[in-house]
Amino acid sequence: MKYKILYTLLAFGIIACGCKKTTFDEASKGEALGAFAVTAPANNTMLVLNSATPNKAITITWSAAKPGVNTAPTYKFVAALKTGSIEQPIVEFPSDNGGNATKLTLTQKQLDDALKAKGIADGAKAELIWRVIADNGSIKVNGDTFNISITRFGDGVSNFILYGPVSSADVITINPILTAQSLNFKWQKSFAGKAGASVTYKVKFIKPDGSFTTPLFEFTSNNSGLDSNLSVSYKDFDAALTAAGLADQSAIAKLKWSVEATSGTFTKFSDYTNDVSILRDVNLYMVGDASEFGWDNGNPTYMYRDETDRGSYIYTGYLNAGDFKFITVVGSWDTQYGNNGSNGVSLKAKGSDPDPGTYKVTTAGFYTVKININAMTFSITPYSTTGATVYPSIGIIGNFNGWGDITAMSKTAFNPHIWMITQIFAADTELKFRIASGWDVNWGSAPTNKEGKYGKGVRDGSNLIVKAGTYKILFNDLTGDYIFYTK
Amino acid sequence: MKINYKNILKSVIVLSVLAGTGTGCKKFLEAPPPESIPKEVALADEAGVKSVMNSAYQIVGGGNMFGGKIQAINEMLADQLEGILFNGDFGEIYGRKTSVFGAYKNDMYQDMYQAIFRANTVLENLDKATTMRDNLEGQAKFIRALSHFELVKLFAQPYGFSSDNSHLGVPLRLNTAINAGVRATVKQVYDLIIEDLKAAEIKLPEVNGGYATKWAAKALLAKVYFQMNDFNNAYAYANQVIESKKFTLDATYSLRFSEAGSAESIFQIISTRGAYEAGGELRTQFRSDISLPTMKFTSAFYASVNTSSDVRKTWFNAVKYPGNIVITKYNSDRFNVPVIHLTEMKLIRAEAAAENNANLDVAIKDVNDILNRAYAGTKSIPSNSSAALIKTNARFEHSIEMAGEGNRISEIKRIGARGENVDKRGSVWNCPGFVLQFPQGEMATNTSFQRNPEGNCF
Amino acid sequence: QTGSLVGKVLDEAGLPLPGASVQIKSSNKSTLTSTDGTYKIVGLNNGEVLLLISYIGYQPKQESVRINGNTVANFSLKPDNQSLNEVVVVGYGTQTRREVTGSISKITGDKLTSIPTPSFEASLQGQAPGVQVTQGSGLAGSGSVIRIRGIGSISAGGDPLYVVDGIPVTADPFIGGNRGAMNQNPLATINPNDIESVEILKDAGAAGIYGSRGANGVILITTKRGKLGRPTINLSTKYGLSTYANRPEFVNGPEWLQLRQEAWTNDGNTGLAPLPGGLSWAQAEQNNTDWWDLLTQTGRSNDQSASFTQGTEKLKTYVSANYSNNESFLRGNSYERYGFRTNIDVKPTSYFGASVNIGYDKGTNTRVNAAWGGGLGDAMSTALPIYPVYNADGTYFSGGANPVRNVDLLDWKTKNQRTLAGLTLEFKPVKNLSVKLIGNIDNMDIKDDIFTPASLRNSTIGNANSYPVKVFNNTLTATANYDLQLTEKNKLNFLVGAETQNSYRNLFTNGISGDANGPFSKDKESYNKAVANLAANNALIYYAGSNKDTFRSLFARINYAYDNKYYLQVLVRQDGSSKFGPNNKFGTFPAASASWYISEEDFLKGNKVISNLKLRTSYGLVGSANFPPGQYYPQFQFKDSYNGNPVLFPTNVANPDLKWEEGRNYDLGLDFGLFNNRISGEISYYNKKTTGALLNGGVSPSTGFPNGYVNVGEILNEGVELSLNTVNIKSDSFKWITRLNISKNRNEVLSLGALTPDAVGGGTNDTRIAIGYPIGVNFLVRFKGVDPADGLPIWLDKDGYETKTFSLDNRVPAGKILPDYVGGLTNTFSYKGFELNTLFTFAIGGNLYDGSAKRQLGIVTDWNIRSDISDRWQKPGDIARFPRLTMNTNTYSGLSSEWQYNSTMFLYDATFVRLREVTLSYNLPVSFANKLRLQNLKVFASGMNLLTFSKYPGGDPEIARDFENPQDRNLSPNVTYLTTPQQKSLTFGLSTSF
Ligand SMILES: [Ca+2]
Ligand SMILES: [Ca+2]
Repeated sequence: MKYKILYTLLAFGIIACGCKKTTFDEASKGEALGAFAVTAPANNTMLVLNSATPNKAITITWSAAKPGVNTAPTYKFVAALKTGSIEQPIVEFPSDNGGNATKLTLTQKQLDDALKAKGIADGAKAELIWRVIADNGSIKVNGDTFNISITRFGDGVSNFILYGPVSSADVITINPILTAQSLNFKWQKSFAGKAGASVTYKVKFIKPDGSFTTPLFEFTSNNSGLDSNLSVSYKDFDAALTAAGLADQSAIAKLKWSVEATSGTFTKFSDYTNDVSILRDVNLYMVGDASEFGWDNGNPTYMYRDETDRGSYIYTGYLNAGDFKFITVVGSWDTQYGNNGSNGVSLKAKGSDPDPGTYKVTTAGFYTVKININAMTFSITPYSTTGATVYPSIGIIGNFNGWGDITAMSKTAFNPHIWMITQIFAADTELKFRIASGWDVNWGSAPTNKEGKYGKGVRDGSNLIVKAGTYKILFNDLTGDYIFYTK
Repeated sequence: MKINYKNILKSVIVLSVLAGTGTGCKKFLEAPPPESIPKEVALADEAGVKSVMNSAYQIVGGGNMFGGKIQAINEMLADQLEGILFNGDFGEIYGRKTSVFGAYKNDMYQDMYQAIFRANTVLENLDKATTMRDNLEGQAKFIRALSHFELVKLFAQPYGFSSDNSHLGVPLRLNTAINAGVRATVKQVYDLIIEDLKAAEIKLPEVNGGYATKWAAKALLAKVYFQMNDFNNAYAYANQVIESKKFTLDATYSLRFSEAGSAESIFQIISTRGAYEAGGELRTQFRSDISLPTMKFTSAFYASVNTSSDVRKTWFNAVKYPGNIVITKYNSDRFNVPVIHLTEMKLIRAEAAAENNANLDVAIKDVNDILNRAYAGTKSIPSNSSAALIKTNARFEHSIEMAGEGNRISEIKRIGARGENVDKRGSVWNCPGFVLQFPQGEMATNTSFQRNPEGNCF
Repeated sequence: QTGSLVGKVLDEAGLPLPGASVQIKSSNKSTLTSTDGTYKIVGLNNGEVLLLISYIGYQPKQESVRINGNTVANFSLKPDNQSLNEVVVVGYGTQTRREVTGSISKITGDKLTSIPTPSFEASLQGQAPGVQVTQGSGLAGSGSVIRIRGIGSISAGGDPLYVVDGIPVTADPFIGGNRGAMNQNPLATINPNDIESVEILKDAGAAGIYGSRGANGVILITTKRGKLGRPTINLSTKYGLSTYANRPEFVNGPEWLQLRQEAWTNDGNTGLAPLPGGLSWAQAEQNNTDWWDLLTQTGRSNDQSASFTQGTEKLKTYVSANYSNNESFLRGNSYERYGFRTNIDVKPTSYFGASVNIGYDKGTNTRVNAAWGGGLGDAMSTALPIYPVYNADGTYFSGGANPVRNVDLLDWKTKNQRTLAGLTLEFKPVKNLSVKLIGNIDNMDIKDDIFTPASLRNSTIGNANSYPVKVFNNTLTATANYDLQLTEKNKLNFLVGAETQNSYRNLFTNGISGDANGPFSKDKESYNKAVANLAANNALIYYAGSNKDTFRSLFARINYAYDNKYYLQVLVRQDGSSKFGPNNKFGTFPAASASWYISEEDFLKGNKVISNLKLRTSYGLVGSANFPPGQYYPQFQFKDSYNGNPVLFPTNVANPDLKWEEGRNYDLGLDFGLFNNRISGEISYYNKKTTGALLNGGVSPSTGFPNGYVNVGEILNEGVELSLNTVNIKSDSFKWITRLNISKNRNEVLSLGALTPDAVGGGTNDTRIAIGYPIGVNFLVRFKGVDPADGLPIWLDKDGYETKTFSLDNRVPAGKILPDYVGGLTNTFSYKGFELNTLFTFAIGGNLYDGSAKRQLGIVTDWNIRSDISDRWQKPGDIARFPRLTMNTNTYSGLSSEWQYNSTMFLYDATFVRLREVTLSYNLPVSFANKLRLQNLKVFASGMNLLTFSKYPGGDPEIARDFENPQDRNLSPNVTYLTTPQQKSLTFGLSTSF
């Protein structure tokens, strides 16, 4: 009895308090899974499936979701109609490698088939939303949802690549006055997806930061667009550049080119684009027994140029008695400038043209030779070296060598005033020409020509600004003329 | 039953008298603490407003701001300190992975806003001011701008992080209202800083008894524009300050942090013996003549100053504590703390000129003035030096001249925003951890407060 | 009239009961026994008389005696624990137990002196249901955290109101802040030997009369007064020894080096790990210092007290003097106290009486640093076993923490003087009306004197600090009490009153400091220089009237009783306070309570089983207003200077709506006595809902302010209390009594406005406030375990999924500092003159967070490492409790710093049971005592905290650490941070009276 009452009282107490308890959840629901980000394709991508390339891959890529502990997730790609819900996808593909990869590779046909199975008509554009879902067995992490429009198979052209000219940092120098020389572009032939359809090509050119949707200019390929190559004469190419606003022939025209193939309503660019740099310019080199290296067209005498007139070429220095003329390409006799017979200028524009005549030096000595290939004028006058200092050493000094000591240039016994060096600059640099020690004798550029590749040096002038690269540098201490030839 | 009402009445009267000692005088329940005075008394006249203005300087110069914490935190974030032994809050900051906690950082944050609160209190009570009205307005706006500037540099990605600077900055506090913090964009913050400083530039006098002057406002404008990589304005304002000829370069480096003060100081925290001894936190963290301080420099940084002719070697001691390189700038009991000085103005003017590719002769002279002092006349750049050469030299000297003054991280971020990564510890200039985390109190009071992303600098 | 009656009144053990009443019912003759228990009534007629012998706390006895000349009659009375006539002190008066309608627990003074707790309130542990007492550390003079029926405050103080002899006394533990990692406890100045009883008012029915200050409960302390009878002197003497109750274990020097090397190697480094303290490995290997051992000692205490009591109808006197000195187990730490008290009651006429109370205490606390402040805290943290105490040349090592040096050299004394005094004048102008005028003061003079000698501060001259504070607190009360007997069964009692209180402090805000050659108390010259120097710099800031708090109230209470069966009480109090904002200057607090003696009803009268059954209930509004004054209006302060000019600045976030926290308290209880009260006890249910709980926070730091007071929270406390007293065995020579009390409280935060858990907290604790959880929830990242593959920790993210990336964003409520059940179990065995008393106290449920363990068991830094690190991962495949050692926070992905390593890895079950007291006493036979001309003589031995049972490996599981502020005190009991454990002690004593 005693205890009955006791227990009754205890029960009273417990009931009175209710049995509410504060609980803290310590249970694990499995492993966590980090977020991930889709890297391709971009949101709002428009994808036109190409009936000519059914095996072409479409890839969707994303970063890996970090496992909470150890378990890597599996991924799948899902897509739904934009008018539907992403929670009820119409298309579902596990990622590559059985869902383990952070990438999904589909052929165009696989995707086309999947859409076709959902009733999307041939050639029709489907507006879709899609996402990637990661799942580690305990938790699903959804990636962001993106838009994409996909046009199903209709017209198509097969993939093709460009053959040439191949991408190169080398500058193709073209002489803009020549009509017989051509730039030649070639690419792989492309085939139409639809039976019986033909493919036509256009070659399009853009600036490096431009877009092929608005090219600078374009050419229809040979044979009214049907051939997979294009030939354009130097003169026509110069005209196209000028028409596109690149009138300055002295500037290197850096371009990208690509080819657009068309079949029916389907157009497609080549798989890659190529870079091409064009300089509409002429280098002149002196050859002949009057000059230092004789008739060796592989080792001519480099001409200096006038910074104010790019058609004007100069040489001030020693000449033997004998003949000389000019070539435009080291090692080639194909194009030449020489005597027209009356100490004027005559051009040999191509290999099959006749050679021009030579200029004569009757007495060995110092001369200034000037030739202007625009005005087609020539002159040669003796030059007095009386009082000219013969420097024991001259070199270049600048950021590239820490402005400490000069990097010495060399000269030959033939001409003690012409200094030459071939130098690699790893980074953009400033420099000056200077004697071995002290700043008493140094040459810089005119303040207005700090970035020029050639010009007349000025004592105590401005620092020259030179882009990184490899140069053959010439400096004439008589005239201060300098010139940087790109190797 | 008989009740003697008369007696009850008597006792009730006694009670009411007693109670009356309380209720009769309502004042009894008004018990303002004697250490405090009510707002309406405190801000009754100009003297009160001036004293509140003065209280803002007390914060700006206090341990949580330019008394040392701003410098210490900025240095820890940057790349000149040797930090492998840092732990706790310092480890977080040095590790470029701060959290929402960490009192060292959070106290700095709160005090920066307390300085702003005090400046705003002044601005809201300018009507009490008479002769000093413009002066006080200028000072309050200067302090408000200075604090917002330090905040936005530390708690947000730098100017230029996004093309239109629409990325989030810090809460802008333009009045004394007590409400939840909301982040303004970096553009809005810089706009306000410039607006405040341009007002201060007009309102402040040229000489102001130790308080912010017209020149301080202009100098800060130069710093702000420089931080924005706006070199035209940076040049213009630095040029005005330098050409005022009010400030001269100290002949010796020991004067920069000295009790006598530096002739270079354009704005400084004034130390008063026994009453307000500025720079306590600088001494705590950097002072090296008594014991090994927490802040030590890397050998790589030391190598840049340890050249035969560099006079500034005396700023460092690599011998006293073997294996440790410590700074000696702060080795005295008392000193004024220059917040903006002429050396920095000259370096800004030189670099801005180089960036503008104009006034290069002025820039070359600035650089050579600095070089001449630093290398005792043994080093200079040629008179026709290019802009690039000027820039290279200005940046290099900047990193040495301002060592330990909390400036380097601003340079890493500013130059970073120009596309160059110069952090010697290898972080990308805009990695999240370079930006401090806001104190948890911001998120606790505003659930939609946007936190900074965490860490990931290494 | 030829007869007389003489004899003795004794208790059941045969000891005299002084002051017992012997009344002859047929006539009006009565007398009281004297101190030896004897009485004498003369002038009696021979023949049979009916006598009524009564004594408070004992069952009254009626007996017939036949007078025949000089007749001798001895009586022995039996104690009556549930006596309904027991006098209970209530607010502004007393009631009999029968009349009480509220919930009140009474603890008699003797329970407070049996164990040598650092302060009397710690002795309340386990004594009363619904009262949770968490004792602080074993530091001499430290305080306890007391919570009555849970906690309804967040940032305002959650402590009960302490009232000593009608004076609401100063009990603020933050007068000296948290200097040296200890909160000075003003209650330590109250001498437990002077306490007659402690009444704890728990519900609105009882505490409601204290209005805006009653919500946390009220603790009424009544000091001893003169008793009727001839002059008697009581003496008591005690000596004790003490040590720590529990301690954490740390690895020794060689082990520490090995662990550091392991961490270094784990991190992929080669060679020897760098060492802290500027030591080479060769030097470090020579040392193996046991700092704990060097800093502790066998504590010694002695406690002497003497009192004198005397009483006649017109004059009653109680005078006492006492001395005690408690040298704790911490070397250099003691609390020495002198105290005097005089309580006098005079009653010259039937219509006028007066009482004077004067109590004075002086305590000198010789301080040592603790916890984060150093001392034993260093021994648990940065004083490494590889550090020596002395350098080779005999000087103190100073390359790292050296707490021995600090204890040896630092001279720190805190002196408290307290005067509690009061004068009561009572008038009885008419029958049944009593008017009282009462004036009281409670003044304290606190001086904290710290001297750091030159060698300790690496300087040429020492430094002294002094923090003098004077605390003034006076109350003026007037009450009128009128009894109205309407009919024989209907009785009414009216109380009306008015009260004003005014308290303030005079203090130097920043103390006084300066160069000195000794403590300022001794080196007056340096003191004068320091004062002059500070004054010259505008830095000597003295405020008279600081913390001023004025308070005025009106109150009324009506008690109605019907037929000893039904009792009803209605009361109301109106409080006005200088703390309240102008929009809420006055608060009104009504409460009603009632009780019903079911056992008095006919259907239970004479029931064999139920001897007493009482149902009681109450409902009312009470408030709590433990927050600093002056917070409601925008304050500006002058402080120091800048650039030589004055500085005036805003100090707070003003809130004109600021007011008390309001509690709506409901109580339902059942008191019962069964089998002639062999079993008795009570069960109570309560439900307390606090609204407008004060939060000092929720302010965006970009305002420039860290916090501001707002009435924002809603908190529920709901619970059940049970107390049960059973007389298990009762024979003439042997008796066994058991007393059990247990209470369960459920606390839940119902609302926090729009704020998140991080809006409060941070700072020194890692507890927070979260809706749906109790106050002081441990807000932590959940630790799942260690990955056997790589030894890295696995966490649960906030959704409960496992991750290896630590993030503060994954903090969730993971534990609570509040226990589910607290209580005490007392067993008393008596045999002849021997008595064995044991008290077990316990707390069941709840969590303990070890804030130091994250440094002792986490990243290897320059901290000591606990021995439980042995259960750690060392190689792939290891199943371990702790992850791989590292010196680099980056090893544990996502961890920003070792300070942010807060997780359930360091959260423990807080359940503990401890043998709080075991006392063996022997009362020498009266006959023997009398031979020594003594009335009685008692010897005893008592042990405190001899056994502790707990799952916590880190030391003492009962934790009230040093706190920064009241909010910390509410949120962070059971959060330890290098906290000094409690003491374990053995005390021997003797008491006598003559
Ligand atoms: Ca000592
Ligand atoms: Ca404890």
